[in-house]
Amino acid sequence: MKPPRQDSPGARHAEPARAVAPGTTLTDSELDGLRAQVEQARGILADAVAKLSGSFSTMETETKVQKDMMHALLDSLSRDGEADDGKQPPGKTKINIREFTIETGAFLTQFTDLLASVSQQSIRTVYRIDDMVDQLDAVFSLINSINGIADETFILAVNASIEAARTKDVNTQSGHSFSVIASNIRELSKKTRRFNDQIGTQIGQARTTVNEVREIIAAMASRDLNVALSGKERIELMMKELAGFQQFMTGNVDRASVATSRIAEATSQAVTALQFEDILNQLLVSVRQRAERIAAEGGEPPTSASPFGRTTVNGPVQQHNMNPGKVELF
Amino acid sequence: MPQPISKTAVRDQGGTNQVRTSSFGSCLTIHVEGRFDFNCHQQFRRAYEGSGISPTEYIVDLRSTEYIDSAALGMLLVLRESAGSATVRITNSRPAVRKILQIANFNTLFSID
Repeated sequence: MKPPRQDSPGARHAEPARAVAPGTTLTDSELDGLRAQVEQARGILADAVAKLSGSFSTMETETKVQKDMMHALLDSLSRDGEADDGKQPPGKTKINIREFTIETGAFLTQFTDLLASVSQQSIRTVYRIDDMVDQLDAVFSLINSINGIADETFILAVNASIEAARTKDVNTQSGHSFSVIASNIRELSKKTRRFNDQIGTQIGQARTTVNEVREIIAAMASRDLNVALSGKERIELMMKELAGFQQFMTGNVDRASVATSRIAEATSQAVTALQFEDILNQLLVSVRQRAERIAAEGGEPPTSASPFGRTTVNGPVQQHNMNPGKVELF
Repeated sequence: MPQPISKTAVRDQGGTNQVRTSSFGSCLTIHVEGRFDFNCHQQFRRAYEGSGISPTEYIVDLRSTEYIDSAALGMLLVLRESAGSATVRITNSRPAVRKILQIANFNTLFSID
């Protein structure tokens, strides 16, 4: 008989059984070997099962954490604007793409309305400025009329001077007086002309200022809309894509959540399956007890030609596989 | 078919835009050619203020308009304001121009076709 192998307990355990053939008996040393191997098998089994149990338990815990995270993510992704009833705990931010999209849309509408409104006000102002320029032009033409009158007055004064010189030949005194009056009239016409020129200069300056104002408003009113409005269009497109992304995320997180649930279920089944340790343990104990009985009775098994067979009448375990629910401990 | 009772055309100094008007009964049509921008604000205003009639409908025909800026939007809004109860329609706009009108939400203020 070979000495017990330490490294591979699996298939080698059959060796002590093969050694017990009908008509033979177990020696003390063989019995000791058998006991040791059975104990070794039980030890290895217990160790392996403990480790597996630990691993599965960790998997179960971590799967639960994962599942909670998935639920939280799914919850925050699928929450929409009207579902917000103020129950959000303070300080906790939430991803609400739908609400974000709605608010951005409202902001963009306000932006375009503002742009249109500014354009309208600018044009309205420019029209008023045009009116003002027309009015200034009217004042200009009035000044020109006054200048015409001043020129006529001047000619009148010159004519009067000539008449005064003629009168002087007839009547010296009255001719002199007439001459002085004509001279005064000429001075007045010159003064009128001077004031008119000053008014004209002032109005010309006012016109320049008004034109500068018009240029400023023109620059404000003349905006190229392609940049501003295509920006709006791009943002709207991005919002649409963002909404699609949310849907994509929600779908995937949902699927991941289902997968996590399945992993949890499988882990739970694996933990149940680990009860095979009990069954194998009992079988191994039974093997040892039978060997001891054979040794005590001189080699003849009392009821069966094959004492280690699976179909032993008094076997401790009826189990042939590890299907859950069929574990029967006698 | 009624004939246009009046037709005017004013070309500005730059020569890049032109505003023409034609009227059928109580409908005044304003055509803007080239660039509909700030430079044509005086012509555009004269087109409806100097028409001498009180139309019940204004049509702004943009079939020959290549470009519009924010000043054009302002001019259209002032026309709408000045039109009072008369309707203002914007017609025949090219795709690029129509896009700007739509993005500026003008389809809610004017009938655009």
